[in-house]
Amino acid sequence: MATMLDPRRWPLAVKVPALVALLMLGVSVIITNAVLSRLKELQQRQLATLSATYLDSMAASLTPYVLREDVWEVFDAIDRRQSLGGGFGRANLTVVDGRGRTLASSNPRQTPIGSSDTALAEHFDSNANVEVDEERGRAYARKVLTYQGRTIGHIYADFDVSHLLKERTDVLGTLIVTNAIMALMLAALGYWTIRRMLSPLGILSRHLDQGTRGFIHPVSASSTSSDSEFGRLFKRYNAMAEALNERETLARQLAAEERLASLGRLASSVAHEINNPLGGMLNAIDTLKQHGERPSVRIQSLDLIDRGLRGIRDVVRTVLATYRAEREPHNLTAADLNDMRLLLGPEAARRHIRIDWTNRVADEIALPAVPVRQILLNIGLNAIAASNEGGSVAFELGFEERSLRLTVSDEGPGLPPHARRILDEPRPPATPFEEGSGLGLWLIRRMVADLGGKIGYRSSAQGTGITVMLPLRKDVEVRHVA
Amino acid sequence: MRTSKEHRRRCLTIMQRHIRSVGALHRRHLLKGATAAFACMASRRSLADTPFTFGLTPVFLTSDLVLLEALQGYLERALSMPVRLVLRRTYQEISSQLVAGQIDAAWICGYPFVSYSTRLALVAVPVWRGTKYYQAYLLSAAGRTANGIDDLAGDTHAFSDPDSNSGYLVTRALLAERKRRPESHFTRSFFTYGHRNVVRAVATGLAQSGSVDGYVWEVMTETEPDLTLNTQVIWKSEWTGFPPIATSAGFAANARILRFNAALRSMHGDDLGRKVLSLLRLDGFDDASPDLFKGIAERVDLVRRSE
Repeated sequence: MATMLDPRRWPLAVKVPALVALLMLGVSVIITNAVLSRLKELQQRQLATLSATYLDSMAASLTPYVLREDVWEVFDAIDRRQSLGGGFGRANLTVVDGRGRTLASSNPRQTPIGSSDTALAEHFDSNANVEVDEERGRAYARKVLTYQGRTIGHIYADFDVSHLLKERTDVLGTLIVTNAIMALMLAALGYWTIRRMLSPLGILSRHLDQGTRGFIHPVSASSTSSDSEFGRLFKRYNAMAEALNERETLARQLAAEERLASLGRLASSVAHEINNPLGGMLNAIDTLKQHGERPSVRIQSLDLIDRGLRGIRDVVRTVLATYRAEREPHNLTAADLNDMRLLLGPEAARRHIRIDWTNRVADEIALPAVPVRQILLNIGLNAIAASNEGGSVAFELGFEERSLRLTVSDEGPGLPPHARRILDEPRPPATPFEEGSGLGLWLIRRMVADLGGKIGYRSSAQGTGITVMLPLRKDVEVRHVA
Repeated sequence: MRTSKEHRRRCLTIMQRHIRSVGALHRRHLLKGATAAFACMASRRSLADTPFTFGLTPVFLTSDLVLLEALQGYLERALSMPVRLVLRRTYQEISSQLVAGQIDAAWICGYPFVSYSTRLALVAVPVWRGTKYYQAYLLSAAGRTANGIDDLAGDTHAFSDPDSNSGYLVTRALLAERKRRPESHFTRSFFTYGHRNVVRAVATGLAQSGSVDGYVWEVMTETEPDLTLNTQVIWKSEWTGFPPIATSAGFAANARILRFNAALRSMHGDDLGRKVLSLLRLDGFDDASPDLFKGIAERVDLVRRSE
């Protein structure tokens, strides 16, 4: 909500029309003021002319009566000439003598004969002869009656000018409506124009979004053909996309090679695993050849050979399963996870490291088997590599909410700084940071990200714990390992 | 109008020419010229084709053009001669023209008739609601509690005309009885030179009270109720003679005047005449004795004595 209110966060397509509307508002305020003040000026001039004409003609006929102080004739004259016409209605007229005493008023009950003109004179500034009281909607006019250069009295008139004031409000209303419509139309035009002008940015933005999910797709040739700013921008973008895609391809090759490398390490440890019982088995065969007739020796030797062969069979089966899994993608099963224990066993045994294995996964679960196996194998190999001889590595496999949770803890000296850097990055880095350092961890990071999961760690001098959370897929596809 | 002016100018020219021909101011010549001029003026009355001039005062509703047209039309037919209606703003102007013999007859008020009783003669008196009498009213704004002249002290008061009985003399006499004068009793008073104007002044609030002809007020209750509804009668005088139609004493036996008297008295027997009477809300015209105006004469005496 706060971001919506902050204009700095508005999209350009809103900002520009808003600015146009704001400018239009400013212009219309200035124009409205100018028009209204001009109208007011015109109306005042019209009023001044009207009242001057009206009072001049009245003064001519009133002068003799005022000189004679003939109350009735003054009253009769103003009573008959109250009407101004032209929407001004009837005027209130009052004639006062030279001493400011009322001779007669068209409204005698309000202004009786003999009353003072101070209340009437109050409406006027020192020299003005026409004043407008906008609140009451009345204009006040006055005229000095002179005879032979001597002031013999005044005529005061007030009349309705509400229609003039209404004219002003009408004009104001019209201006507001017109300007509002114009501002809206300009804003709409601005919005449309900006949207049109910015549409290449939308294309770019969409491509960049796609880029974060893997390969960056170059912008189509039709968009880059133009020689506008955006055409050039697209060309550069495409060049960059090509470079990035090359790098991504490189990274994938690297990842594949690393996987092969870890498989190589595995193969050597498997060979070792096979080699160990082989020596014992060959010894047993020699013993059988020399002392085969002795039943105790025969039984003992055959038993030894049997155990050796069973061990080799298990190892071979696991390697085969791994190989087959690479070929045929299937859902993860508890057996897949347990295979890893078997695969890691020889390496751990070689380095005299104990494995604590806790697997709470019993059924098939909605995750691809191959990457999960890879992740677990690599973390396990790293943990074993980090552990001191005679130490232990704990595996804990289970669920948390709708995710598979894999925790591997060792008692090693803690994660090296470059490994922490890989894990601390908010997004998996496209390439390993440094040559030959923690390629395995980088691979893990990528694979976890590909599965939409998260990787966390806690590390100290007493040991390291790495936790991988992999959300279960919605579309459960059940496939069994053959 | 033009004929009268032209005639007067011609008479004056005769006099001036005579004076100039003498060269020096010689008494005998001057007298001769004056006699010639006056003879010229007097001779005009005897001319049968000169229009009959009838002066009207604002005693009644002179503003009504329909009435004036009907009145002129009726009189021209009844008298078989052109008739000119003479309208003036004040009673004074009509009275003095009448006394001077410049107009044949005039409808004046009882007050100037009494004032100039020796120089004027009665032609006829209107009959209103069956009598030849009317009353003077004191008016105030409607809704005010006032019962007489004493309650009007301190008012702005509207009089009709200084030569009007109902519109001035009656109130003046009322105050004289109390040893007061309009200037001391009222804060302010003014003349409107018309009974209808008094009603307007009181109705609009220009004056707080007014002295008015009762007949005019009563007629206005029918013709202009909007105005009279804003006023109320707070006092009525006793019945006095209705404003009469008078002529200069010298013309009284004149054939023109006799015909005029007959025309007035037979007005109710003629269609156009009845239209005039109905517009005036009068029954007709009748002969009357100057005694009709005794009450007014007493008032004039009262006022004169109080001064």
